Amino acid sequence: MFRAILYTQWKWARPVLFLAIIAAGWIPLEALRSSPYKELGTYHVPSLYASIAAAGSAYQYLALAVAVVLSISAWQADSARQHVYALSLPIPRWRFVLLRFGAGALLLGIAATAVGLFGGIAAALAPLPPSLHAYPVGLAIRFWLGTLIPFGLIFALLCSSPRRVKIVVAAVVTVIAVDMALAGFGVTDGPQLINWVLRPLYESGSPLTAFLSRWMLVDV
Amino acid sequence: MSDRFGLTVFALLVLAARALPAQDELRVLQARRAQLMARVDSLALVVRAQENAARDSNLRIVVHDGAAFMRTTVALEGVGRDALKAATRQARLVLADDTDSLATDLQLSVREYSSDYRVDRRFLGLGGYSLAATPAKFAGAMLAVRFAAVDYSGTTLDWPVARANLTAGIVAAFERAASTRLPAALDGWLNHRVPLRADAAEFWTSLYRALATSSAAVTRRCVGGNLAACRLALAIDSMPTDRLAAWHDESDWQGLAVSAGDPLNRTALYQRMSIDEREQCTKLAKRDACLRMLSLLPPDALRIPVPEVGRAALFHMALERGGPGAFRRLSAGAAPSVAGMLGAAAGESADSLVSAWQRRVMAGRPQSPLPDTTFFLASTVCIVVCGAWAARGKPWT
Repeated sequence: MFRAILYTQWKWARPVLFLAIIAAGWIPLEALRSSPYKELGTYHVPSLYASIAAAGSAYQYLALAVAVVLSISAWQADSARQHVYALSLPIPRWRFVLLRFGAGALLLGIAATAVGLFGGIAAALAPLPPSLHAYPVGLAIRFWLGTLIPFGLIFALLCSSPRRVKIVVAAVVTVIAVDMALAGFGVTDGPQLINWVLRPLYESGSPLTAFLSRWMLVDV
Repeated sequence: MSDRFGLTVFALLVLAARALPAQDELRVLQARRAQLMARVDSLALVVRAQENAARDSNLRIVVHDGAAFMRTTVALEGVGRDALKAATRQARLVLADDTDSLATDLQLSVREYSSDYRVDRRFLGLGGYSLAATPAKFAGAMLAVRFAAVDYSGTTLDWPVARANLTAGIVAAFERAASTRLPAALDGWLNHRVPLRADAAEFWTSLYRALATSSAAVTRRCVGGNLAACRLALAIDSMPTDRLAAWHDESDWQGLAVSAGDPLNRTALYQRMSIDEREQCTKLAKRDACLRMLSLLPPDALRIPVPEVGRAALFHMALERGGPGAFRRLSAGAAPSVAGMLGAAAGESADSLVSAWQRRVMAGRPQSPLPDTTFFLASTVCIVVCGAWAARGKPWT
């Protein structure tokens, strides 16, 4: 059963995954190749470090994009066919959902493996200075965990009842609109509610922790 | 002819005779003007003194901790007392008995200030704003510092005043005051501030990262384990005559040529080299062009490679290892070099002190390239919760 689900999800997500793999190869190449003040055999270390830090942000955007597309593609076909296929399967609903989740996580693992593999190859070919080292495995794990968070959130949201999705979206939009209106009319000193919600998200231990740390292919 | 000459002389004499009293009058007027100007100046001083007195009239409370004292307003008494106590305790850890002698010359005052106007945010979206009158409310607080009859720049604090922020402001005042006790060489090396604040938990990791990715090759060699490179990078013996050769290698030149020096140095450099000449270095990485660019910068454009926080950490370590009396030995300043002074304070050789600092920095290297526990736990919990939420979902309903 898992293989069948994995295969269907692979079929739906294949183009995106190929693009992600190409990006995973291009990001380290670009970061190590176009670092400013690079000579043939040496790097200007601060520039190289800045270039790698910028590549870390590119990895985060890639992770977010792949996770969003994969989570949407996991339910798009079912949603279009009114979930008839899923309901006709001889397994409990919760198991089917978890199989879909597992298949998505595995497909995200392919993108993470590509990130680690291409990063490792690029770093091995680059003349890195002795004070810097390549960490492709660490980066691949960060990438995988990082993709699973937005994937899980959107997957769970799409998997809920449409009514619940509508309520959540309406609540978020209302809170933002009211907060902006209060700030706009000078009642509050800036958007308070949004800050109140967002501030804990930017603290250590929040679900955003993965995206708040640095994703460095090359570090000290 | 002679008549005409005589008449001219006569006319000049008449004019001179008339001008003499006028000149006296002018002198009197100038003297009067000077008197009035002096009077205006003195009145301005009086007005300023009265304004200060009016402003200080609400500073009725004086909080004490040992010899340290601070004037505060009623609203800030509690937080002021706590902050002064915390700051003095922190200063005492480094300065020991010298804290009290410094504190007697240190005049601190903290007062709140109110804002009668605020930006009217309703018009922000329309590309402009206006100031709207509001009922007076506290907008912040100002910590004023005066040491040995010299006013230091104050610290502005957000309202409501947090104890930690006020403590940091008072500690900064102690840091600047204590630097006046140091020998000139050491004071300059520390950038006129005796570091008193405790290091943050992540300090040594950040320092390791900063040194390992420094733009100076000597610093990178230092964190690679080379002790002599550390001494050179810290510039504790003397400033090298050729800083470029001593601190940097060829791979640093191009980056340095682009970024070294302050804006004035850079402007002078741009005036002496054409864009084409500069691009020989900045774009084409020609060795000679980079050397020429760097030679046009003044020697002090190349700063001590170990940043100020790294030097402060060495200083802190010297005092820690020296125990009680270390700051006094340091301020005695008997040794000719910074290395000697720090060694004397620590009660050991400079080599041994720098070696301890180097080991501490190297121990700060991030241990594992894998995500830390917080990252792993936060991500896993989020994923499991999302999975469980999804398993309960019924999208067909």
